[in-house]
Amino acid sequence: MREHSDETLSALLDGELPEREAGELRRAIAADPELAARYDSLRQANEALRAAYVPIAEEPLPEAVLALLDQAPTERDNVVPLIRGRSVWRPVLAAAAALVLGLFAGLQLAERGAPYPGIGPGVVASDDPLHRVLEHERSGRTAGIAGTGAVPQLTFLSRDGGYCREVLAPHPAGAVRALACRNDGQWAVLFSALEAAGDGGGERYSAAGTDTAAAFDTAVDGLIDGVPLDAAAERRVIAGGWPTGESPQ
Amino acid sequence: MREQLPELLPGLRRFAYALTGARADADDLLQATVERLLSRTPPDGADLSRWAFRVCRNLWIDEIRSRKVRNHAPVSDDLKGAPFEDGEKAMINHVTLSEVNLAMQSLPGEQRAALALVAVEGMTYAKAAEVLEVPIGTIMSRVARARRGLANVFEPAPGCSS
Repeated sequence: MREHSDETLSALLDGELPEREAGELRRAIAADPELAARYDSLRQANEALRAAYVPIAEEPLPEAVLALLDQAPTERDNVVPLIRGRSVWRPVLAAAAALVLGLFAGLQLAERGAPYPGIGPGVVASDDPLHRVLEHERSGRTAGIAGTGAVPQLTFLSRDGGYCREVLAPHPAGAVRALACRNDGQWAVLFSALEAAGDGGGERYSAAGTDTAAAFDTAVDGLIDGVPLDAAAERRVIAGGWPTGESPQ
Repeated sequence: MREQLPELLPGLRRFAYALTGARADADDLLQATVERLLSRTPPDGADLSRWAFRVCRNLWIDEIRSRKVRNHAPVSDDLKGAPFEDGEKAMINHVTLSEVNLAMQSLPGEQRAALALVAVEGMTYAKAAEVLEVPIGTIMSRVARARRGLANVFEPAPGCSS
C-alpha cells in the first residue's frame, strides 16, 4: 500500500511541501527503503533532466533571434510557415464583426475618414494612399508615403485563406491601429481603434493603448491561421501580387 | 519588454527545447516567441516572465495545430543534425540530452511543459500554474506523473545520472 504518493514525493523534491509535512516525509523516507527507492528514482530522473537541459541555456543564441533584438522596434521577422486556403470576404468580415463586438466594447473606434482616409472600417479605395501602403509596403518599413504615415505591423493568413495586415498610423490623439484584409484585389479595414498617445515609437502605450493592443492581439489570434509571415515570405507575397491558393513559403 | 528580454531568453530557449524536442524547432519557436513578445504590449500588470513563457507555450500549441506532420518527425533525426560543438564533455552531454529528450518526448505535452517549468526553470507550482493557466494541484500532479514517466524510462538503464 502506498501511504505516500508520487505527488507528495515529487512536491518534496520541489520544496513545495509545508515544513512540518516535509520533515515527516523525510523521516519516513529514512525509515523505509522502499519509499527511499521510489523517492530516489524521481530524484535521479530530475537530475538527469536538469543535467541535460540546463546547459542548453549556455549555448549561443541563434543568429535570427539576435537579429530580432537588434531590429527597429516595429520590424517583424519570423520563420514559421503557414498553411493555405482560399476565401471570400463574407466569413472573414463576419468573424471580425463578432470579434469587434466582443473585444472592442468600450474602446473608441476610429472615425471613418478622419483624418486619414480609409483607416476607419470599410473598403479601402484603390486610389487611397492606404491602399498603396497595404499593397506594397513591407512590415516595419516606414512608408513615407504622402498622406498616411501608416506603417504595416505584420502580415498573416487568416483562417479563411485571405491575407490580413495590421497597420499603425499616426493620429493627433496618438495612433490608429487597424486590421485590414485583402480579397479579390481589394483591401478592407475590418476594424480599427484609437490608441492614446504613447512615446511615439509604437512600443509603449498609455493604459488605453495597452487595452487596444491587447484587444488587437486577441483579435488577431482569433483570425490568424498559424503565425505571421516571416519577412522573406512577406516580400515574396508582396512581389507576387498577393497570390492566394499556394503557400507563401 | 525589449530591456527584460535578454535575461529571459536562455530560459525560454530551454523551455522551447523541452516542448519541441528538436533543436531546429526549438529555435523556430524561440524566434516566433521573441517576435511576438516584441510586437505586443504585455497585459496590464503582467509579470513579464510569466507572460513570456505563456506566449511561448501558446505559440507551441498553435504550431502543433498547424504543423502536425513536421512536428511528429522522429526526434533522433533532429538531434543527429545538431551535435554539440566540442570535445568529450560535449559527447557526454549529447548522449545524455538525446536520452533525456527521447524520454521527455514520450510524455504528454502538458506534463512536459509543467515539468520543464518546475524542474528546469525552477518555477514554483504557483508560478507554473499561472503560466499554463491551470490550478496548482494540476501542476503538482503533472509534474509528479512526468517525473515518474522519466524514471520509468531511465530505470532499465541504471546509472544514467549520479
